[in-house]
Amino acid sequence: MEELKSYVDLLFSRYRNSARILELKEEILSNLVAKVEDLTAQGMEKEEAVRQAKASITSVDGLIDGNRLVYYNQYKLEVTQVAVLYGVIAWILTLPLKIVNTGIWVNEVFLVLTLAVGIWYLLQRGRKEEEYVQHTAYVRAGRLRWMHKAAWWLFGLLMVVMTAFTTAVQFGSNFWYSTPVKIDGPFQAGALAVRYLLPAFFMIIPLLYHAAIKLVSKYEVNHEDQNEE
Amino acid sequence: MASPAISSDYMRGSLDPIILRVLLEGDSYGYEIIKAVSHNSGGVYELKEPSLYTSLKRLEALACVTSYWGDESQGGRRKYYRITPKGRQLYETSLAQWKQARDLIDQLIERRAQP
Repeated sequence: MEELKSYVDLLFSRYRNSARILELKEEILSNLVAKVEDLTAQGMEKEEAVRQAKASITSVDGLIDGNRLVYYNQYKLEVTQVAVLYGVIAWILTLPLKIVNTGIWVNEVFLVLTLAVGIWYLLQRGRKEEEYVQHTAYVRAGRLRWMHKAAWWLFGLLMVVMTAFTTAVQFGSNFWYSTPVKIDGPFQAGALAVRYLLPAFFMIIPLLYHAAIKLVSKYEVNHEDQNEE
Repeated sequence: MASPAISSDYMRGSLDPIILRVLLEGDSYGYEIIKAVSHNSGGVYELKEPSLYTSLKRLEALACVTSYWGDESQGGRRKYYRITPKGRQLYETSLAQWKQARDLIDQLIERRAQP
């Protein structure tokens, strides 16, 4: 029954082999094997029996813990909207940061990204076809939560590393030669603050994951059992 | 086999008690449950695999069924399900509720000759 086994593997190819997933795979495979045995015992050709067994289960997304069925296009649209909003805020907040070179660069990246995502958003928003609006798909909420957590950890790590780096670049020689730190006036003080502040804007990534998780329940399909189709 | 008109909407809400009824007759595994449901319906209704797994998962979370692995060696081990006392309780409640709803819906939908 190698063919059925590889078919089940294919169904689960998006998922890591956790203990729970392996059990589900084994259960599904053994039932498919039982089906083929039963159908062939009734006189069906083996090939046709395997085909029917495969056709009886074409997706396992609804069986995975943490997966949630949502009106996918509507959901995606609002997540994009939040991304645009965050992008605009980041762009405005980074405007004063243009007093240092990196600030100019960061500010422009935010502008270009926000414009690109914004245009895509406006194009999608105009779509009103029933099929597009009512399209449903599973969101892997468990994985989203994991990514959210990982994004915060990476962000924290980045902040620590960047703060250490900035300190080393700015004050390394002062420490090394034990010379006093000298800041010539408000502009230098501002430029210094900006250098420390810049990596904080990467916060937009974990914040977006947060929004993506929050929005799942808003667009969740409320039928009890959507697996019939 | 199953006519599409009956299959999804009307059956959806009753899948749990339909499966519990099969398990009342004895422990069973996925494909055998599907066969039993088809048999109980006189071949009219066919329970779909994804619905079966969703239902069993929900029933297990509710502690209405427990599962254990069989000791088959060929074709992989089968996962058997056993109904719990809580499952029997749910079955009885669902059955009573269904009868009540059926009578009411009959009364509301079916046109009868005025006396």
